[in-house]
Amino acid sequence: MPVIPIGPFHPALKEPEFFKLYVKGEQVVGVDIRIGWVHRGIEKLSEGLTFEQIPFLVERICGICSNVHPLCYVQAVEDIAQIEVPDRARYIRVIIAELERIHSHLLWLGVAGHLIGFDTLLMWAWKYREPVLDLFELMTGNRQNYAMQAVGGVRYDIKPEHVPKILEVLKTVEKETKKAVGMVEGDPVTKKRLEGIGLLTTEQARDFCVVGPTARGSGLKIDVRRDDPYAAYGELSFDVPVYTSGDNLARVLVRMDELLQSVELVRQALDGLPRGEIRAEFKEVPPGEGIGRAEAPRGEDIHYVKTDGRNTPFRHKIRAPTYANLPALSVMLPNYTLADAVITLGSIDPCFSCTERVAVVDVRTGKKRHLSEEELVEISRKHGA
Amino acid sequence: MRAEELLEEIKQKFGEIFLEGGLKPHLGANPRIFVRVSKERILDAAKKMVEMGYRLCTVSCVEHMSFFELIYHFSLDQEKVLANLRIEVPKSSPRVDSITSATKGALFIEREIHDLFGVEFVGHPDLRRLILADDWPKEVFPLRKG
Repeated sequence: MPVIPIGPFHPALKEPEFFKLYVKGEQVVGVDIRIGWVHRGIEKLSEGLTFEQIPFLVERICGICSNVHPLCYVQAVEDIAQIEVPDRARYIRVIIAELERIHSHLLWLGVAGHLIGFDTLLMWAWKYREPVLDLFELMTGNRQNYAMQAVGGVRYDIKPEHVPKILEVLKTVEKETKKAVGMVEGDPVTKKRLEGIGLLTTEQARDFCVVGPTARGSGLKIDVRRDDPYAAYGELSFDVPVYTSGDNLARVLVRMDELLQSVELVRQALDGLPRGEIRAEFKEVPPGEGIGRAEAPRGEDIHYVKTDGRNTPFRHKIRAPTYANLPALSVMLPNYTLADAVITLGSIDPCFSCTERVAVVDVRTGKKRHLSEEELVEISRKHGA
Repeated sequence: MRAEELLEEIKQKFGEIFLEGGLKPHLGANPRIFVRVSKERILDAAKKMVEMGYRLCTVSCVEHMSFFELIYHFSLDQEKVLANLRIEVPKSSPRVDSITSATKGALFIEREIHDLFGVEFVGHPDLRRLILADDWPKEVFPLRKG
């Protein structure tokens, strides 16, 4: 059976990953994903750093959603030490997290457009992502890796003069996102490229334990912001958008809805922003264990921290959302054409630096057996790939 | 409170699998449920959790002097509760049943723990290397403390 290898180092890929697509003519019939080229041993590194140093380390797990890992981590530690975070800090956490979701989803929207040959959408979405990054620079000094989260609160305050600028950017994003929804839904070619492709049924989504927009596009109403309210989400009102069709179009529409939702959430948080301190003092972290969860742009992120009374964690376990979503590709890719594989891969918004490892689903439709590396080579030789 | 009721429900459903359990306060939301279950029956426990509607988030492995502690984090999203099942796997024979037949969500998680800690998951359909390179020496587990 012909195999089309892509990666691990390939001019078209942004991160090192390796896909083997098994094809019959135009049809993809099986897939083998191998990742592990960006494994940096962050969990082990974390065991050698103090509780206050770790946010800077975990911030560098991912270059796009760089706020969500420190947020999860500090929540886990706050849980252990029972630190009460000041109200103002909780609201600032929401503002940063939602602005991050906006820029991440806009980035993704552009990439998705690019993957289906709709480069106008790429230019256009990234154009409106830029001002959001400028906001981060204004508020924290950095466009990425904003170093905002700290155990007990946040490191920078939002100044009154920032608020009008934030509101202005939100207005533009809102207006342009609404246009984009029209562009995707109203354009028959774009719709045809997305509709009914890369199907993940609700049952499969539940079985593979997928999270985030991938789950919500398949009819699972889960969202950590609602299901385990952290920061100030318990005090803000928002919906969890759900689509039941489970195809690529559903995952696009979920993210579009979330963009508008995030705009609204930032407005609510700015509106209700309480006065006061932004960081609570803490002396030491007692022995114990804590779990921090947050809804990253790609889905649920979870950090487990165990402490033994010293100044460093005894164990720090991290599970990024793409790690939970990737295995589901083994049912989403087969039975569609090779040209659709790219957008289906893109539709889970994979982040391999987050996943930092992961790998290998070899499902060959029909037989569904698992093959070893040697067997694969053997097969590909025999059938003259 | 809802978490207490759910802990009671788990206790009822689990029967003899349930060794001990309790709630741990969690700021701002429902308390976390922690339950210790017997290692031999973890597959049954996972099946019961999935039946009750829980979703597997991940599994954390922690190394202690003589055993590995595996913590299975299950989320019951609509009830806003996170339940954690805890088992102890002796270091002298680090083998435990795979829960992949209860939920496919465990496929990658168990392979990762197998790579980094050397815990063997009996019944896993494909326990190949996940993170480590193919030429990494056998019996060397990077996250073990020594």
